[in-house]
Parts: sequence; C-alpha cells; structure tokens
Amino acid sequence: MQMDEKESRPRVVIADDDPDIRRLVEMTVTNAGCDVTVASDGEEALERVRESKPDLVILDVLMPRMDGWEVARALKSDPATREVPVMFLTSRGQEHDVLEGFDSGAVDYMVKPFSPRELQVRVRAVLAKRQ
Amino acid sequence: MSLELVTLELVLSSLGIALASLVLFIMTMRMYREWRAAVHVHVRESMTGVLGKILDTERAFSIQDRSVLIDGEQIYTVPKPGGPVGDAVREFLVDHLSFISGDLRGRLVTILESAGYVAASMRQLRSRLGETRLKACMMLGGMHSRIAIPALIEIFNDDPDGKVRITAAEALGVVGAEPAVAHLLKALRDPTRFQQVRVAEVLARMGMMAVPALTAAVDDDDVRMSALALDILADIGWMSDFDPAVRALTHASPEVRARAAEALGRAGALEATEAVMKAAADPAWFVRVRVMKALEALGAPRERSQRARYLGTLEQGLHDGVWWVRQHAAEALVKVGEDGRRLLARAMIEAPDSPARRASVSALQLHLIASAAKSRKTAIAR
Amino acid sequence: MMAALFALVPLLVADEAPIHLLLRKIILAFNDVVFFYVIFVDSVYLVFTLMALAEVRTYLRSRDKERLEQIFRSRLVPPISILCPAYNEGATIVESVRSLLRLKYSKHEVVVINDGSKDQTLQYLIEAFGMERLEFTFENSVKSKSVRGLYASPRYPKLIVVDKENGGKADALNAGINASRYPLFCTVDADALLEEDALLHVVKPMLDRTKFVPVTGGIIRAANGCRVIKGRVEAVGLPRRPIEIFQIVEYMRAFLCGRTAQSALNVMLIVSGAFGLFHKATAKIVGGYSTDTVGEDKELVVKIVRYLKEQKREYEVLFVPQTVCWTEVPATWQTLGRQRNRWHRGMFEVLLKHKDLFFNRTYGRVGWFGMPYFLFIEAIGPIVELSGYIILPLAALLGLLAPLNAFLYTMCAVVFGIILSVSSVLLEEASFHRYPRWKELLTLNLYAVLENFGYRQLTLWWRLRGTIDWIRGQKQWGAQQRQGFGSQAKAA
Repeated sequence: MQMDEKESRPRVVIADDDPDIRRLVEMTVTNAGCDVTVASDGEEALERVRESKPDLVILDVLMPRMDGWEVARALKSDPATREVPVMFLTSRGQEHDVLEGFDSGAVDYMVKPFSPRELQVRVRAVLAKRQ
Repeated sequence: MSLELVTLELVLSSLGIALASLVLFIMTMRMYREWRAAVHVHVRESMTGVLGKILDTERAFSIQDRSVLIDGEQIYTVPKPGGPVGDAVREFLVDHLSFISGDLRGRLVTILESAGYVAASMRQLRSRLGETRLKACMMLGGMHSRIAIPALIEIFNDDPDGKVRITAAEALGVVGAEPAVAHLLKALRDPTRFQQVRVAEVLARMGMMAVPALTAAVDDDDVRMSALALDILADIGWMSDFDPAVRALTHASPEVRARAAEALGRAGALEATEAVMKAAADPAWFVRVRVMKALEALGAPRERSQRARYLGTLEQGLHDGVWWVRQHAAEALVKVGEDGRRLLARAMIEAPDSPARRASVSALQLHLIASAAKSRKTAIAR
Repeated sequence: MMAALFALVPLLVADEAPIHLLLRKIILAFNDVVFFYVIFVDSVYLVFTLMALAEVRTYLRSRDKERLEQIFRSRLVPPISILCPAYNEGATIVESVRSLLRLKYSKHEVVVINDGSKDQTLQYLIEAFGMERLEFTFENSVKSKSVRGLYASPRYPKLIVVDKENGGKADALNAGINASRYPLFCTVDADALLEEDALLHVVKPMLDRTKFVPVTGGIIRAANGCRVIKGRVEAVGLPRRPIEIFQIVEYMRAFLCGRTAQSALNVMLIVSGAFGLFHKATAKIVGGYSTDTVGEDKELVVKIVRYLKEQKREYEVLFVPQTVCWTEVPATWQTLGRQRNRWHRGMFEVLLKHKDLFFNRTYGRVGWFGMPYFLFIEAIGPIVELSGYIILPLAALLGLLAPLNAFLYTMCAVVFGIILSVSSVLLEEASFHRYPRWKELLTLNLYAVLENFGYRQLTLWWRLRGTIDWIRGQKQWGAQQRQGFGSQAKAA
C-alpha cells in the first residue's frame, strides 16, 4: 500500500459535532496518511459518504439531526455504500453501547478519550483489510 | 402628600441618568466580551496548527522552557501562564487532554509543566479565596500532571472548605494517582448525593486500580458506603473476589442486598449464581426485582440440576405479588431460550393466577415483536 | 393658582362645599396610592433582578466547574420519566418525541400521553416509531380518565405511548404519572423544544441539596425567530414581529429575574407547565394534578409545598437559572390575549383554593411572603395600575393636578419601568449571552424601552379581563392555535 502517492491515499470521512475533537481526529488520521473529509452531523456525514465513496467512515454516536447508529444503519441498507467500513469513536463506552454499535454494522469501536496512536493503528488495520 | 414639581423633576432626571448609564454599561460589557472572545479565537487558531505537529507520532518532540521543538527545530513559543492569553492556552490544552489518552497525552502534559502552567495553578492552591483554590484543583486535575499529586493530597487533608477537598480528591482520581483511592473513598462519605456521584464517577473511571479498596468497602459498617461501593464495582465490572458481594446478599439492609444482586449480575459473576438464586426469596420486593434482573444477566447455568433450580426460581418469580418482579422474571425466562419460553407459554395458559399469565403474555409478546423486528431488519439488509 | 385651576373645570367651579373638597382629596390620595403602588411593584422586581444577578453569577461559576455531562453518565443518578401530554399535536409530535429520546441523560423514558386527539397524533407515532400495542396494566395511583391502550416499541425501548380518553391536560398528566416507571417525572409540553442537557441541569439540585427538593424548574425562552431543525434549536435569533420580541423581553424578566429571585428566597410557587421536574412519590401523595382548574401546573406546586409544610419537612423548591426549553409563544394579539387571560384566571383559582395559606403560621414564608406576593403584586396589579391610567388623566382634567405634574408622574413610573426592563436585558447579557449579534442586543434594548409604552398596558388589560372572567366563573381553555415548527423553520 503506497501511502505517499497522492492518488492512492485512502479517503476517510469523519463525523463529530464537537469541532475540537473533529479537528483532533482529522489531524490524527491525516498523520496516518489519509485524505480526510469532515462532517459536523449525521446527515452531512451521510451526504459526504454518498458523494465521495470513502475507504472508511469514523462516526461519533451522539450527534445532532441523526445519530451515529442511524447513519451506520442507513449506510448498510444502501447497496451503494454498504461496503464502506464504519468505525465508531464515541464517549459511550458501556457494554450495550458497544454492542449496539457492532449491531449497526460497525467494524471497530473506540471509546473517548482515545489514544491517537491507537486510532492510527486501528485505522491502518481496517484499511489493510479492505485492500 | 402629592409630590412637588421640583422633586418630580429631580427624580425623573436621576432615573434618566440611571437608565443611560445602565445602557452604557451593557454596551461596554458587550465590547469587553467581544475582545476576550477575539483573543480566544486567535490563540486557538495559532495553537491548532502547532498541535498537529506535536501529535504527529513520526516526529521527535521536545520542549525547553517555553519553546516547543519538533525534530530539533523550534516551532512555537508557549505564551506565559496567566492573563487572557495564558488562560486561553491552558483551556485549549486541557480541553484536548480530555479527548486523548496514551503516550501522546504526555507530550501535552510536558508542555504545561515546562511552560509553568502547573506551577502557576499550584501557587493558586495557596490562595485565601476558596473559589480560587477550587478552580486550581480543577485545573490541576485537567492538566493531568503528576507533579501536583503531593500538593493535592495536602489540600485534600487540610483544606477548610469541603467543596475544595472533594475537588482535590476528584483531581487526584483524574490524574490517576494510586493513593487517591483511599482519599476518594473517604470523600464518598460526603453528605450530598451529588458529591457522592461525582466521586463515584471518578472511582469508576480509575477502574481496576480502585477494586481492592472498593471490595473492602463493601464490608463497611456504614450502609450507604457499602451500597455505593457495590454500585461502583458494578460499573467497573470487576472480575474477582466476589465474596464480599455474595455476603452482602444477606446484609441487614435491603438497599445493600439489592445493590449486591445488581452488581453480581452486571459483573457476570457466574460462580455467584447459586447465591443470587437463594436471594430470590428476599422479603423486600425491590431486592427480588434486582435478583430477577441479575439472573437474567447471568443466564441459565449449563449443569442440569442447577438449570432446573434456575428455571424454578424464575417460575416462582412469575407468581410474585409485585408486578415488577413478575415482569423481570418473565423477561429472564424469555432469554433462557426454548425451555424458558416453553415454560412461559405453559404459564400463559395454565397459571392459576391471572397476574402470572399476564406477565407471561407481555414478555412473550415483546420477544415476538423484537424477533420480528430483527428479521425485518435483516430482510432489509439483504 | 387654585382659582385658575377651578376656572378650567366648570364642574367644580365656585362650589367649595365640603363634599367636593373631600372628593378632590380622595382622588388625589388614590392617585398617590396608585403611583406609589406602581413604583413599589417595580422596585420589588428591581430588587429581584439584583438578587437574580448575584444568584446567576454564582450559579454559572459553579456550573462551569462541574462537568455535569460526565457525572450524569453515571448510573447512580435517578432515572427520569418524561411526561409529554399531546392533544392534536400531529403536526409536531414525531419531531418532538425524537428530540426527547435524544436528550443527554443516563437513564430516562419518554411517556407520551395521547389525550384523545381528534387528529392523527397516535397514528403518526405508531408509524414513525413502530409502536405495538401491549397488554401491560399499571396501578392507578392518581385519578385519570380511562386508558384505551398502551404502546411500546422494540426499536425505541425508552418510549411508551399511553392512549386515553380526552380529559384535559391535567388528566393526561395524571395518566402519565400512573404509567411512568421512574422515581422522578418531568412534564414537557408537546411543542416545547428541549435543550439537550436540560435534564442534567434540573436534576442536579435534587441531588446536591441537603434539604428535600420536590420540584425544580428552569428558564423557558421564546423559540420564535430561532432556527429550529428537527426539534432542536440550532441558532438563536430574534423574530421579526414586534409582538414576539416583546414576549422575549418579557420572558427574560419573568424567568431570569423573577423566578431566580423567588427561588433564592425559597418562596417559589410557580413551575411552568412547559417544563418542570417533580418527585413522583410526593406528587402522588397530594393526588397528582387537579382537573378542576386551568392553572393545574401552578396548583400542583402549591399543593406539594403545602403538604410538606404541614408535615413540617424541610424542603426547597428550586429554579435553575439555566435555559431548559424553548417554546413557541403566540404570534397573534388574539391568542396572546387568550393565553394571558387563562394564566391570570389560573392564578386566581389557585389563590382562592389555597386561601387558608395566607398569613398562616404553619406555612411560614410561603404564607407570609409567597402567597401575598402573588395576590398583591401579581393578581391585583392590573386592577390598581390600570385604574391609575384612568384616574391620572381624570385628575388632570378636573384640574386637581397640573398637567405638567401629571405628565411627570407618568414619566417617573414609565422610566422606572424602563430601567427594570433594561436591567433584565443586562442580566441576560451578563449571564447567558444567547443573542450574540450587536443588532440583536440593540433591538432587545429598544424593545425593553418600548414595552413600557403600550405592551405593558395591554398585558395588564388582558389580565384584568382574566380577573373579570374568573369572577364570572368561566373556565374554558383559550385554545391556542399552533403552527408546526417544521413550517416555521422553512420560513426562517
């Protein structure tokens, strides 16, 4: 996987309503060698995914307009986007939250506060699986 | 006693002046606020770019006093602490510290330590104003610096203000200092529920570090203490040494018994299933409710005779005098699988008392709805 | 001078009979009474504003330190049932419920009570949330009309819908109390837009006070002019129509200043029906909501306070100076008039029903200050102040008062009123600062001035009408026409 070539850089969509966290995740994922598109709520995330067909979507759960679970379900029910892997990055870390996350079709689940290093490793792992 | 013309004029003009100065005051306040906000935005913008480089794992990071060096090259000078600019910088870093964990967090903490922010807050711990000390404790917690641990412990032991003491304990917990556990347990005895919840939350976040002290606290003489300890243990999801909790199932206080059942269920303490089943005969209905819920969480045992007793306990629950107990017993039976649902179906038709029949109906109904919804969902996905 | 005055008024000319002197004295004395009454009332409000300023600043300082959100993710906080009565709310109900389900809290349920709606309210709910009819039964601990069915949804385990015969709002809330599961309940109007963290803020006083807190409430603001998307206020703004801006200033004064101060004095007796948090067991003991009054929300609080006083229990009814919800305020003069009329009738009904609280030692501060405040300042205010608007010109006309004096009198009262209005804008600016644009700040100040020329008098008139209607014994609700939030968002 050649990460430094501009055209082959994997694309990632990040959705979080907190601008600080969004930027932090954006930085971390950019540092991992990806092209990042951001969205500030669930609906926008859905739109971004539909137009750019990314290699990974990172979602927060509690977002205005449409929560992360709803977004994931919507993506999974649409044949055009159901192949896009979804990862949750959320402050909801209780068991049933995690289960609900995987139930809605996620491939990975991380709880905030997160370790940027770990996030990079996980993002790379998900992307490698997709190649 | 009608007022004189002069008096009226005087009153009116002073009212007018008051009004004018009021409006002027509002405007000045707004201008000051906008200036502060502008400083804030400026600091955030300049720091955001720097943060990207600081958090880049590929690059070497170091700091000398207030100069941040990346790959040996100075990229930023951290402003001095204090004043609107210093406050904005600290706030920015503290905010981001709360989002991230792992070794990169260390980089941000080092910046706060080296540039004198931690020292500045530690100086504020000696302030005469309780308000200032409290804020300093909060900040030190947020900055996650271990340098401040001794100072915070001192505050926790000696500060005359109870609120400040609790905040210090909380900060210790956030920093993740082992000695904080003992202090937090002491703070748990605070009279107000809100402070208890605050402290409990910190303990729960400390996780396994706090487990030994908490299991010991289950045996505390204070009923509220053991109840809280059980609650927190349930939140942490501890793995071993269930004995104090099992003993608590026969505690004199129903509050504690209920908490014990719940905690064992949430922790998935399979070896305690037998003890929880025995607690199903508890005289207090809310204990029985928790027992049914715990049994549902623990699931039916594999071993045949134990499984039979498990089903028997739940069936007993179906005939309980209290609606809640019946409902949870029925829901637990649904979860058991085929034999549980068969038992329910039989109770639905044959049970001598109508409450048991109704509980069975509603539980089965919920199950059917849920499974129908699931199959609908999978159908859509396909 | 006297002679010159008399020359102006043929009616009283020349005759210096004692009866006329007496009449003049009475009119002048009454004039003074009204003047000082108005000044007194405004002073009370002004003192309230100053108290509120201190209170709100302290509150905000401590709030910022508490990181409520993290704490309330804990299971240790008591779960809350949200009761949302709905009567013909088809236009907005689904969005409202969605936003209620999304509230930030560790454990809450939403109980929607369909109060025999004639529109599609129930059908919309069933379709949108996949509700299924259940064979649950629950205990009828407070009285309500018969329940036709109970609905739950496997997809939304937090949601319950109670379908019942029409019985009015109080009756619906009672059914909700019966169907709810949790120890606290929060009443919410179906068209109210809640702040996401509303529950966190109002439940906090119930946990951090050493005294028992049976009821709490929070600030309610006018949503008109705000951008509302999917049941959530996205951007705060001011509406265009003056009638709505007047109400925004008025709400600031009533909630921000009035209630905060009443709460500080522990005499608060009003928790708005649009949003209030109650301790369920206590509300049940006093029999839930009364169905025989139009002021059922106020009445429940009085009943609870009364009960606790009789039990000699230490308690606090608290108001949290924190915005909890936004509600659409009437946009036409007619509906606004009807609403105020209803509120005022409600107040009289509550005062009369609990008249034995007045100056009764058992009820302490509530009897000596809380209730008299409502009677002498809120309830009879319109009568006194409006009679001033008649008596002052009359006195001037009769030549009992020099026109200039009469004018200055009026101006003193008006300017004092303006100071009061502007200081509530000051309080808003110093604390919550929800209107960030300069233009909005100036508009608010302008309307704070303008409301004293006409709007204040108009509300007094409606309240006077309410008084008259109450005396006549009318009791029907002023039906409020609602526009859906969806359509408003499009228009904005």
